[in-house]
Amino acid sequence: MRAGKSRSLGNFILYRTSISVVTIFAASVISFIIIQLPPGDFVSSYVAQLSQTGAIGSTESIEQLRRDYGLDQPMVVRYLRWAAGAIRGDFGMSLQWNREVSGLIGEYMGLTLMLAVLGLLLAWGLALPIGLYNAMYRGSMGDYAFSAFGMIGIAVPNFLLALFALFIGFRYFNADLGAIHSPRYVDAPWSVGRFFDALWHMLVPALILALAIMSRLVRVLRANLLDEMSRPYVVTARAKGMRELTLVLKYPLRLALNPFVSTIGLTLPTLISGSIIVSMVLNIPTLGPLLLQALQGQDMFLASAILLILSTLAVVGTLLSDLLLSWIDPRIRLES
Amino acid sequence: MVPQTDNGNEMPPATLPVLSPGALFRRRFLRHRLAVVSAIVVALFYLVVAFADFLAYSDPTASNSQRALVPPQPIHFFDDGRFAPHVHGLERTRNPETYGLEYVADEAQTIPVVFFARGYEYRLLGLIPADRHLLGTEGAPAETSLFLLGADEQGRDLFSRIALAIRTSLLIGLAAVAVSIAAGIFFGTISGFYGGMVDLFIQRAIEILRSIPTIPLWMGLAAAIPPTWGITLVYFTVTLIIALVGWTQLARELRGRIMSLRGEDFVVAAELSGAGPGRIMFVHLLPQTTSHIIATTTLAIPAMIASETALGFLGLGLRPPAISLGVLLSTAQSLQNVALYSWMLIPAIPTAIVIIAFNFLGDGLRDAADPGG
Amino acid sequence: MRRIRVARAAEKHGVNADPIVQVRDLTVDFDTVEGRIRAVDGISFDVLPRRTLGVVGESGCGKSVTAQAIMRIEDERTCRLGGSIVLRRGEDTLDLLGLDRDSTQMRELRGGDIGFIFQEPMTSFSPVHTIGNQIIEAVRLHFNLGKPEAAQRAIEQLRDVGMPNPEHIMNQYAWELSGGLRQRAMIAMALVCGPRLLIADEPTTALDVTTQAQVLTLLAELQDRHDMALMLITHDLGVVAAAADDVAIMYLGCIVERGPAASIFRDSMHPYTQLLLESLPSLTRRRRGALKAIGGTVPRAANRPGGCPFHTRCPSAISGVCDRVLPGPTQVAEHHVVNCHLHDPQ
Ligand SMILES: Nc1ncnc2c1ncn2[C@@H]1O[C@H](COP(=O)(O)OP(=O)(O)O)[C@@H](O)[C@H]1O
Ligand code: SF4
Ligand SMILES: [Mg+2]
Repeated sequence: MRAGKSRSLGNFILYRTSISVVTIFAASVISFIIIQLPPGDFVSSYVAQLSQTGAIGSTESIEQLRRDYGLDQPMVVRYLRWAAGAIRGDFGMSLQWNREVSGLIGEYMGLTLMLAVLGLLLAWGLALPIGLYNAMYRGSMGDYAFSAFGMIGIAVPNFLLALFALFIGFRYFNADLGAIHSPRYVDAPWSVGRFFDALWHMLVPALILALAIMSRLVRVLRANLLDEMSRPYVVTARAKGMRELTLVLKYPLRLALNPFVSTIGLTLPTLISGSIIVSMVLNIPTLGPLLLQALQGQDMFLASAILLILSTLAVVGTLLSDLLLSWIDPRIRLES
Repeated sequence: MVPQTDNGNEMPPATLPVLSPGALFRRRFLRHRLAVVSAIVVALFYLVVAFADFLAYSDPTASNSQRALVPPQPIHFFDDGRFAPHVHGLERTRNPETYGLEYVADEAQTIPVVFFARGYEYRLLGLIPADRHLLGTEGAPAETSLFLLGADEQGRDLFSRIALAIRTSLLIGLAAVAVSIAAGIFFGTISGFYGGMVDLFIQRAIEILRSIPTIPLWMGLAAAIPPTWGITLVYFTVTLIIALVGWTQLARELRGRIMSLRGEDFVVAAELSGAGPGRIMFVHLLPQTTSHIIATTTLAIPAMIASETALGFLGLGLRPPAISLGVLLSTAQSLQNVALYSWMLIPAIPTAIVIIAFNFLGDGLRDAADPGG
Repeated sequence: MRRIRVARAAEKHGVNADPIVQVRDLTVDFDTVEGRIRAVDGISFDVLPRRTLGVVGESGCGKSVTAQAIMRIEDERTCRLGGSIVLRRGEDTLDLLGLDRDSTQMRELRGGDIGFIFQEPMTSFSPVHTIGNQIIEAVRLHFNLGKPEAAQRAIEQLRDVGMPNPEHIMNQYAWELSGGLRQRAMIAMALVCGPRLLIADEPTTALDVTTQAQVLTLLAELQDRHDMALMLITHDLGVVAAAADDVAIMYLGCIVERGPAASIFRDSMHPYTQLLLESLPSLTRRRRGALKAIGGTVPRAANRPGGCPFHTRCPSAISGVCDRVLPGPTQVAEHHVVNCHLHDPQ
């Protein structure tokens, strides 16, 4: 019995992991192709740029540039080269910045992750108590208020919220929500103080980001809890003489957490999309604005690397949440 | 044994009025007051779509550097105690301290605001040539004198532009939904009907598509639209890009519904009577899911509108000279604009309202379609 | 059906002992969208120590709701209770309806003095907690024991209900067990704190026939061994005939007849009881066709008929009386009470 169980858990992990690998592969192909779609390539826009500034390159040097970047090769070859590099963490050179893409991304990654993780934690941390409250006191004023507010949170797109927040922050608090470092930390190297300073300034952007996801999680959690609270095993626990709150926390909440955890996987892509657009509105130096610039300047290595990394983040996050789910719910392992 | 009723243990309900499924659906929907109000709001928005040019009073493309960035203008309803709506003329000056441009009202100059005035020429509903507008001015062209919600940096009237932007954005929402629905119905139905490998393949494809964050994906795709393309082509492409991800949700839901209906008697009966799979799928099964399709569609439209707005806002979707809510909002991108010319944020308000209304409406429809779920 | 009763000393189940639970004029109302529904309409009965009270009635007549009222696990949002439920603890008596549902005292009684077994052992265990976890929890709610001691006690209790390999069962989930074992685990959990009263709500309905008999025998043995009172709720008069000392027959929220099992089965007085008995295959040797002996269907609780609740289906109904006046209780033999105008002296 034990052995059988752990084998099926092993199978499950294997299965989910292989799906994720396929997904990341597909994402890499899509990222690569998208970047190749625009007519012309980086070199031509680079040359256009140069000719504007008067520094016109000769035809030979243009051809040389093309060869250097492998642009004369067929698409498949270029993809394989790029993918082989990507696996080693080498994403080529950013032509706009004239720097290694990997180094550039590493620099922006910290704040990107900080925003996304903070957003996720806020969404979770707030959704749990609110969902619990709404379910235990369903039909109360608080429940109605949270639910209506949640609907709006779900409906209004992130970037509009960010825009409103930007306006309100500026108008009434004379604060720039996009400034995530206090003046004394702006040019300082990373330190514990700078980290917490950034975390503090990130709070409002992360809240904006968290609102929609939190509202969605509250809805899911409330519905699941209500479902679970009417189940016979809850009555059994009550019949044992358990205190109501202890009981709700141990049984329904525990079971309602399963769909909750599985929703987390689904929300990760949304979270990453959201963090991109929120940081673009508020002008926070994350991968979002970097991607926008790269796309606008046809900086293809940079853009495709960012696309790939963002997708990979989402896929790996989803994988982790699925594995977490299979760990907390013994039934899942048996089903697959 | 205690005798039981025929169905085992449940007592048959006493006389209840028998309602058709449609009537039940309507009754349940009408109970959601918020959803009903939202339905009215959405209907009003589509009235704006139909009569955008009539509601606009200034040519939305007529730029006028003399009227750049006019702030929203107060409208006066009474003149000497007599009801006579009017605005005052505008005087352009430079602030002696900040050297910034300012507009002051010329109290002496009164420009009457009248109903059904003549203005720029357009085609009503795209067909009938017309030049009457709901509002207009007398004595001076509206383009230089009436700015109810202010003007943009090219001196174009924001009110009129919002009317046209609503038309564009709401239509693009509809178009993208139509494409999504078609794809979702197609893939969802065959996936749910055939199951097996077909299902596995389609479901994996959907899973992959959904695990890629949409905004970066859209950004990449939209950035690939060549700058040389015309408005119509861009419009069409943006629609497709938005629909690319949207169909997956519907396909999933339909698949679930079809799968559960698949084993029901009427399907088996249809199969036995020799109906082909295509006929069973699209004649017998699909109509059973209409209420779901309606609810999902209603919830998908605001997502599409939001997507267009987001892309336009980033400068990656529709681009000027097209007029959409996203394009209008893209001018609000810089903090400077938000701070100094806050009326440029006004287009965010109808955007938020229409999206919220659509969501409440879709929610009500979904509850009515599926009271248990 | 064979009597499952285990032979006992006569004085052990005296009819005249002081009752553990005295239910008086219990009413249970539900607030629903259709308005207020009366699910239980002023019933009175006693549960006597060390005896088995069989509560019988068709589905929907209010058996479960009555049991839930005694446990105070009614749905607090929609359910309103009236009357009194008096529990005797030694010399003290306590009206359960006067207690707050979530009060310490009520929680001590629940699972401590009164154990409860549910119909559906599958869904009555949490699917993500092991059996052991849930039984240990029951122990520790009522006894100040550490985890290992509580686990030991749980294992002993599992062994006591005849569970094979109890140590192993402790680490299993309910959905890994067969129906019979699951119900045994349920019984173990209900008994682990040594209750004086065990309420079993349709304990065998979800089981197959062989397992049913085993579980009933087990309940009878356990009752004997632990000196408990048992309130056995069922829609199956056969089960009651096999196991009960006292019987209460319910119809549409009312107890229409109650008394010692022998008296009820020998001299049933109420037309409904008589029809039930006639339809009982093993007692009357009639075939299954007799199941439809009672014509018509049970009215819904929402539109209870006036007068005697059974008059819409009663073959002996006296028109002008039965549909107007609710029959009161009439004692027809020692401890044997019937609510029917046919036996009303007036
Ligand atoms: N939570 C509830 N809400 C409304 N009515 C209920 C509820 N629970 C039970 N009832 C009503 O009470 C009556 C008795 O139910 P119950 O005690 O479960 O019957 P049974 O005798 O089959 O156990 C039923 O008619 C049912 O309609
Ligand atoms: S009171 Fe009348 S209707 Fe009721 S059981 Fe007796 S005879 Fe039948
Ligand atoms: Mg019951």
